[in-house]
Amino acid sequence: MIQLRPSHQDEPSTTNLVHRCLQGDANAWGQLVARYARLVHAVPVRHGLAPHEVDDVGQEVFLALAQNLHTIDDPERLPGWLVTTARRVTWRVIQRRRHEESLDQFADSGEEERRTTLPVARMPTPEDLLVTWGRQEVLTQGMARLQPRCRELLTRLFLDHDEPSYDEISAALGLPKGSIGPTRNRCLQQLRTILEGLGVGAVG
Amino acid sequence: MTVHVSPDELLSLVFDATDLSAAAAHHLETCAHCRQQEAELRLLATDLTIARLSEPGPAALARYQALFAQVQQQPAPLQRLANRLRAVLTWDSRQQPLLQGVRSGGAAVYRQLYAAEDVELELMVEPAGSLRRVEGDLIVEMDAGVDAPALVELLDSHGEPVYSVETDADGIFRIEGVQPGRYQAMITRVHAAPIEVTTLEIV
Ligand SMILES: [Zn+2]
Repeated sequence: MIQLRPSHQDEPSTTNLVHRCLQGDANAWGQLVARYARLVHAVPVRHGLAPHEVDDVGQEVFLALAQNLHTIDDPERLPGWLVTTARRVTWRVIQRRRHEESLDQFADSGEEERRTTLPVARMPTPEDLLVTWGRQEVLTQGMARLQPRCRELLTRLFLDHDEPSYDEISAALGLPKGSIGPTRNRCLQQLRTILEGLGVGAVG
Repeated sequence: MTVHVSPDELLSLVFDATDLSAAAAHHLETCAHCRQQEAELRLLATDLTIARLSEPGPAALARYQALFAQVQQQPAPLQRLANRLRAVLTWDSRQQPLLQGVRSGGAAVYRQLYAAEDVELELMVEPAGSLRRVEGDLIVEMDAGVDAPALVELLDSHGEPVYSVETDADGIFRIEGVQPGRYQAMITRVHAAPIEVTTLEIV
């Protein structure tokens, strides 16, 4: 079972948030969504779905959560519930798309689609998804421990939806364009060392 | 003396798709250490891609946050996931004295039939050493003409999937290597409500 800990100690536990939601606290729901949205999204992403499909899955999973909060016995198991539900919803989206594609033989995912989806060889198992979740969680922690300058550079290079160019990054960070590459390499090495310290990095 | 491919060269290979020099490429082919380094970097690159693609946009977050108020105003489950069918055991070969003959290695082959509104689930459980092979057939009575696979999951007591398999378009599936025990089954369908079997005893 994966345990998603709040990233700061003063953040409320998932159990606390779920209980407050059950009392009608919309603020607690907002915090729950903020805490788990990225991890819910990781499931359809891991299956190679396109961005609009990823949002559709998120919508259906959080709707199911809002409707089923009272049935969740152990809120600390919420990550498992979310991953299982997201996998089912994702599976249905894939089946529907296959059906539509079989009707449209000339369907071709364009360049945009290829850039924004993950290539996937086979359907991930529940274990694969839990491994992905664990690695994403550790990656978040690792990024937080980077030196600020490295964190800023890697965030812009790898985590920004807009995928800014080297020119834009150079201007934003006041870093000569020519040193972005070498700095990136140094920061990636630093990140790897941190991730290894957190118990991730090895293949397996 | 072995000279490994430098970290910078490996990083360029993985993150910029830059070709290695001929010597480095040859070394990589023969060196397990360097291949391991490359594999780890590729995994990190994938993790970063997943992180970028998974980051919810503000519009998506706002929509998810608004769901709470919608459900509070209209608590009845609207969508299909919440609206599951419950299949119950209607027939078990072990309760048919004449059918108890088929035995192998102490455990017997047995068949069960579960039924819900418009659908039947036929199961055959067969010993395979200390484990079991579960073969199933999902039979939809009023087939609307849409043949689509279903997702069959056996869940543990916490509702987490232990075995997961896709049926073919005719509803046939097989799960190998199942530990005897008590499960729930969840069957997700493309065009219809999911089916739940609350207790599925594999003996
Ligand atoms: Zn080497």
